[in-house]
Amino acid sequence: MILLPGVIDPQVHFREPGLEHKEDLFTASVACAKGGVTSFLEMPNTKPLTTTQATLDDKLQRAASKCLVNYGFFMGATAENLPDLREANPACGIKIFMGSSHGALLVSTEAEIEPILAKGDRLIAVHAEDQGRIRERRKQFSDVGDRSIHSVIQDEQAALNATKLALKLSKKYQRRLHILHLSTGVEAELLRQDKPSWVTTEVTPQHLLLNTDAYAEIGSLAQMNPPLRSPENNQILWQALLDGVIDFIATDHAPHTLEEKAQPYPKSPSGMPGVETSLPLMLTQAKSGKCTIAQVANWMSTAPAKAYGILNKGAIAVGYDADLVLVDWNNYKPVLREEIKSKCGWSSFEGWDLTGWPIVTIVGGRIVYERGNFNTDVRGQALTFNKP
Amino acid sequence: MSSNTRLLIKQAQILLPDGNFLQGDTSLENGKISGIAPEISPRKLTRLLTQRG
Repeated sequence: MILLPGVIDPQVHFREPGLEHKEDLFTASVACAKGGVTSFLEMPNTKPLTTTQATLDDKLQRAASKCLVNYGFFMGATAENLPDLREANPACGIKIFMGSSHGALLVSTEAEIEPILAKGDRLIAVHAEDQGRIRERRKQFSDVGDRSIHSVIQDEQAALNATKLALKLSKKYQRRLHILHLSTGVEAELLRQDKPSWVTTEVTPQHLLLNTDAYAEIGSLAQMNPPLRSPENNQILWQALLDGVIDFIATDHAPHTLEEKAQPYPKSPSGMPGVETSLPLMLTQAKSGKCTIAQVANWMSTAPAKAYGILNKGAIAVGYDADLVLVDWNNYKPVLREEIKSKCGWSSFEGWDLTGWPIVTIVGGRIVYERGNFNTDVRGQALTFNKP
Repeated sequence: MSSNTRLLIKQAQILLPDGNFLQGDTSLENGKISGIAPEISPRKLTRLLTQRG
């Protein structure tokens, strides 16, 4: 048995309110408990959008009533809610969808993005894809129905363009920036050359371990934003993570129902679940010698706690919060669809034989998961965030 | 909601902040980590968590 600090997943989409047919805060938190995730930071693209203090308060109240693990929420940037972005509390940061979104949350032009970075000191997290380029390429490839075209339409250049713009504005205002789910080698190499001390970035297990070959194997279950890339990108992202260019890991847990996923491209929605497989996926990599257990714990707990200013979490030390996960390091077990706790009921990693599965997950000193059983009386707490 | 009960995790490989492992016990009290040592004696009202459950 190995005792690790509980996983802090700093990018999830738990769909409540408004999209509870895909997931809700209770089912997602059960999946978290099974996966050793003791805290999460959730994104604002729910219905209604999390763009005001009132909608943030609503999410906090919902989470307090049903979440088995600790929780924090992002505020979503629109072109019109600057005062809310600066004042709403407690929020872990401001999310800007530079691409791959629609409606009010899509803030894609430099003229719209710059005022958000220009004032304030709250962390800004960007989904960096160039929406203008994606729009053009969608027209260009509109007659192609093959799902793998998704990675061609939302190509590496679209990601690089947006990351360059976010970096430029962050440097202009020395504004704390976090680049979400880095997906390409070219972005990693850019950051290797030019990453200010106030910029952080993350990678998902799926961008490390899956690539465009997955379309042939699992079809639309491989479709996500930013898209999976070529195998060469897996290697470059891994090296950037090992070298510290990439700071930590997030799952971008973004479930959809199988019925939604079965629609033809481009109607099939992008996103895949992740919270209950991320830790064993990464510990299996450690077992194979790709990295160490200590690195996995740093990427999945210590570093996100530091980046978001979450005090007393992310390490096993006297006086720290008792958010812990005890994992089985000896046995392997496959990911099975029938055992998935996320409401969507599937995983992109079905059939993968993994080790490091949680045996016990502890939140605030209470056992919330133990050998297949859940204590649904446990409630997490709202996280607090220290400003940089 | 943190716990008022005590929990003692017996003989695990504990990942310490410096990246090293300690084979030992971890005690939890009032929602916090209260002790980490090669061996911690269980006190009253302590639930023991061992390899077997």
